[in-house]
Amino acid sequence: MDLVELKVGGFGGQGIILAGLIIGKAATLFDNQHSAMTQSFGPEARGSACSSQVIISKNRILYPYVRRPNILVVMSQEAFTKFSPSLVPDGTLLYESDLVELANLPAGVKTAGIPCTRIAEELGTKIVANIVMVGFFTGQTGVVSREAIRKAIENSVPRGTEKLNLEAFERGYTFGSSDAKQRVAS
Amino acid sequence: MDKPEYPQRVTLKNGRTVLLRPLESGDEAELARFFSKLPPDECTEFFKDDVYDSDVVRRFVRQCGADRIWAILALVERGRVVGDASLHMTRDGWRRHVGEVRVVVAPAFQRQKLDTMLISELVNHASLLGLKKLEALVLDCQVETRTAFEHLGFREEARLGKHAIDFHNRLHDLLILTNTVEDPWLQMENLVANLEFSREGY
Repeated sequence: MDLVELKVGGFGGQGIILAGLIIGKAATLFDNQHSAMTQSFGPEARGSACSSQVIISKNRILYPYVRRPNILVVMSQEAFTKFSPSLVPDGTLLYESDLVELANLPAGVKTAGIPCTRIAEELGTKIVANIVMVGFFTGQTGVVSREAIRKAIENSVPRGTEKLNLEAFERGYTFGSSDAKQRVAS
Repeated sequence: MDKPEYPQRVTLKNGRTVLLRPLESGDEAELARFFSKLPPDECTEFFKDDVYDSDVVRRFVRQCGADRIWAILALVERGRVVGDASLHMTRDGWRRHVGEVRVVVAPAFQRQKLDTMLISELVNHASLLGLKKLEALVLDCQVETRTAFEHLGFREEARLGKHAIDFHNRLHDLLILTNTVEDPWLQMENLVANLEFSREGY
């Protein structure tokens, strides 16, 4: 895919913006692609809807805003309800399977879920749920390379938290890549 | 909190690589050589100890084996020391949560962010040890040292007027810079919060 329009949605405090930032940074700094990120917030702060939009392209980006995402990542029901109608008909939806119940999706949309918050809690802290999701996104889509994302994570998270964040990424990546193979085989 | 692995190879602003590792017994001679090469100036004359005395350096290295001092060295080729930073702790009493940070970098390696890297290692180690607050004592004339500390979040908490006197009998203010040692996971939460809840510009 030469141009990817990605939207990541969830509620404030889930690390939605950081997830978008890491993916965009990985594409630009470590994968020799172009990317642009924008973000938006709900009317209130913590707990309300927020999203980050990332364009990733092999070529120069002429318009930086996501109009209709071809990949939508949602980590809350509200984000799913709000953003899923904008997904392109043959788009990909990645979702937090413990928090999002799918409904009324257009035919042709590919879906894959991961209990990223639960996996993050197993690792010791749910603050890395977004990084598990970034791993899942990487394993499922291959839009950005695994190595580039690893470097972007190391480059973005606070000192001393790199190891667990990378572990969270790998858990999501493994979950995503094995699930992707199963989907292809079925 | 992840324990960092040493040695670490870091790249300075000018592209030169330096190795960082904790001070070990056996470093006495090289450390003494490093201090002996430091030019006497307004910086070195304010060291708390006479670092030109090799016995003082030997004693310092021995003390590093105990839990009151942790030091890290910056080395270049042939194991030559070009920087030294140390964390001094009481570990008991009413200052048991506080660590004092000291750093010195060879003149040829200054303005390359090496001091910042070394201080950063000390802050990391302080967090591992469970310290809650760090302090650094600098003089009003030590502008670069102060800047390096400020880049890492240290702020002036107290200034003792004309509290230090140099070899030329000039009086200087002594600044006490402090910084809280934040849990890195709290920093992660703050990072997420700052990215998501900062509305400036929106």
